[in-house]
Amino acid sequence: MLDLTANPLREGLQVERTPEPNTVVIFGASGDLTRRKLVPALYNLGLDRLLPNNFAVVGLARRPIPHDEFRRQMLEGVNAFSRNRPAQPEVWDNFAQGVFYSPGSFDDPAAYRQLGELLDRLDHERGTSGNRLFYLATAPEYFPVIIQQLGATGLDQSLGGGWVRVIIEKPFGRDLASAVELNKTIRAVLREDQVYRIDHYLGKETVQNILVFRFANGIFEPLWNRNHIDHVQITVAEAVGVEGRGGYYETSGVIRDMIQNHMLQLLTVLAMEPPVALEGDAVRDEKVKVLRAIRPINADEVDTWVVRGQYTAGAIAGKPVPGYREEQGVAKESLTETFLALKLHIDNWRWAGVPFYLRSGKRLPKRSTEIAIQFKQIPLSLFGRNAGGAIEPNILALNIQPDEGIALKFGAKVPGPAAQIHPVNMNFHYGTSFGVPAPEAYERLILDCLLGETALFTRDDEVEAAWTFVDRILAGWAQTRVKALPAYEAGTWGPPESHEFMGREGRKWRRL
Amino acid sequence: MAAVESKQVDPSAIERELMALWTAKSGPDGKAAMRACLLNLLVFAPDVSAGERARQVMADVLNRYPARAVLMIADREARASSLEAGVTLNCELRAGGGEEVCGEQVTLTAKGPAILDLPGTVLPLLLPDVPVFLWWQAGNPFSHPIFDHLVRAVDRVIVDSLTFAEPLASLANVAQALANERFPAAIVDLGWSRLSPWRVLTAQIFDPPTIRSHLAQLERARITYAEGSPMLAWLFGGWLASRLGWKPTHQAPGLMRFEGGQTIEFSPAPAGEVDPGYFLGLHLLTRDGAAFEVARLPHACAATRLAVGDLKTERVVPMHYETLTEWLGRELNRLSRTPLFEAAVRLLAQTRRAPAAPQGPM
Repeated sequence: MLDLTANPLREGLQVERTPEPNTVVIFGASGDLTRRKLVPALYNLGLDRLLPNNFAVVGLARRPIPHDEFRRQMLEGVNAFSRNRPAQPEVWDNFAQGVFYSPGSFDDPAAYRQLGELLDRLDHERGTSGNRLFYLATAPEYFPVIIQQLGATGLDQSLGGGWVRVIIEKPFGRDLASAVELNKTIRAVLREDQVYRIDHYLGKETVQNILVFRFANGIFEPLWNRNHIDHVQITVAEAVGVEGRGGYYETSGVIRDMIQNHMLQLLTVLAMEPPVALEGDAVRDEKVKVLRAIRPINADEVDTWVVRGQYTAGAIAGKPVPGYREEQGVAKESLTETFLALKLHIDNWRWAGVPFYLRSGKRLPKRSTEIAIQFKQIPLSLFGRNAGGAIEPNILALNIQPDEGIALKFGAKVPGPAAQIHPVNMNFHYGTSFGVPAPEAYERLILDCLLGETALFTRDDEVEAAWTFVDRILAGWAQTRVKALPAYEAGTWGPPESHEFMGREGRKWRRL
Repeated sequence: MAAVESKQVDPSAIERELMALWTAKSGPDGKAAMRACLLNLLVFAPDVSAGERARQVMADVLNRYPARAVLMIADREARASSLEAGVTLNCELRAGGGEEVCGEQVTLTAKGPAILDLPGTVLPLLLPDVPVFLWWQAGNPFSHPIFDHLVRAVDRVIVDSLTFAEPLASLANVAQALANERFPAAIVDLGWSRLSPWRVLTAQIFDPPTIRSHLAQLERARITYAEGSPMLAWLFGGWLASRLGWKPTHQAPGLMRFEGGQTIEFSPAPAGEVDPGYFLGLHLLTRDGAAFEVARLPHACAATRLAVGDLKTERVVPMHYETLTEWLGRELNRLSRTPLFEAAVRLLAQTRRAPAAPQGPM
């Protein structure tokens, strides 16, 4: 008798499984994210043969437009932004047959009833089996109302026994209180296992490779602690400015835009203990422990531990760019930080005494995201003054973008009779190995959600723990009245105060 | 690409030539080109023209998989006995500038009786600590006099069943080696690798539990292939039957019969855009009237189609990975055995031993 509890044809295939039949519903379908990232990601999953036979996409936004017009707009998006572009006509035509549009306001119950009817029809006509992924690609103020309406109209459950999942884009709250409130709203309608809070940094191959690097190699994990590591620097540098989103950035600043989510997530993956299994809650249990172990920076200590900055006019790659206060939508006397550097400690047995330095900013000289682990200096140099200066410490650099890879710096002897030591780099570049292009972060994350894999999404307690840390810094800033933030010229590595801050620590920021 | 030709056959001389190439690659500032080595790749080309084809594929593969590669070209036609060596660095400039990444290639051209000297020259050239792949570029390796000697140092043998001159006999050799616990290497087949996306497409149809239940009702399968060797079609049929637990009872030309009454039919069709022997499609019918299809489409696309009751759907996907470089690259990424391939080959071997239906042998 053939056992069909699992698909017998699936065994041993490199692609382990494809999602069950489903419909992806995108709230905020007229937005940039849908056109630039989400539909191209879905199309690329189709190209990679990772979508099921029975699949549909429904866009929902306020403006009433016909299905065909929505399809045309999405094709334009794919042709402009997909990593595989232009769209392959045969594949797009077939994909587009499963793309639909449902107009309506996010707060209008009639829009949800109409959506529900369309979804039922797709279940019947396209065999999508009642499985639904609702992607909230809207401004954050709409998250509560959409979730409440999904609950009120019964779309939070699938009558056919299928699954219902919701992806929520960042920002998840703007402080601890609003994040807690949003989690409460969500919990009133959905179970936590239905909720996928997205942080696209976790979809990047190199971030996932940190887990492989740490837990699939015997030689690194024994060194991954206070006994061998001197300090860690995490840098997320952007060359771009606010790109016409001055209004949003004024309410956000780098602390909400980068630190609370992406950088603390990088930190958790880097610093967590080995999980009992590489699956959703096991990984997230360990990540949240890291966040809870971060030593709080109290309001009156903020100036000691944190440096803010704001860019002034300067040049990026030789091209003049305006200062932050001259950007559209930005107040002339804005005190929003476009640069931030901070030091934190993780108070647990593994990391006690190891400082973690985080810095991020806009209009820095180049786009670069890197985690650098500096190992402790050797206890005693055997090579004396002839060694060519002080022996440099070993550094393991995990490059997240733009060139994903890993580099290890170590000292080597320069050939010749003298014991001269020169630092050399051993590099591994994703681009030159494996011969397989890495998928976009959104592709990986959407696929994981369709498969019900939660490890790369942020859980409610993680979000709240991250805000708990950030909230104290915000409170400190609120207490300190300043008229201007330390300035840095666009195209430089942040304000001088940031370098002085590291200087006081007896260290230097890495030159990237 | 840098090249230095030599007529040395002493392995240590070859090592010295390679070292000289590396030194020559160093810049004036003493900065060396980046040396990377994922594996040892031995390639056996049974004649000069096969050697040329192998050389082209290797140039492409080695840019993606930096390796120490040894190309063995056996010039059987030559009367005189000789063995010549050449060394080359295959260098690729990293995207976005930066360091060059280089792999090493040694080419050994053996003429006449010197072909038998190839293993003795090749084996000392293998680098330790990285796996050894042997790509037998064409034909059946099992009857070749140097194969036994080479295979003892190898982790994976890569054959190409589409190039087997006598498919049935060669398949029997493969089955025999797979059954032999003392055979030292894993055997993989580029023919099998070519079928990989088609197996995925077929499996995907049956991922949803509601559709999966139809697998128990399957009655007829028809596998269409481009006129030429039926090898890929057989392997696909072997995979399908072995995964579904079908036991062969009879074989006839282009047909296999199984205990439960199921049949698999193999139909050649005009090749069109693809090479002879390539997979063209699969049609599955169930006792309850459901139909499933995987079909190669023009313009490097494929379709999967379902017709179950009222539900009729079609999905079109690209199918563009079909170059020898891609297939070989995929096999170089893996180290383990391929149990599904082995099960498919075992089933085909059993089928061959099954009684003939009145029409004659398979």
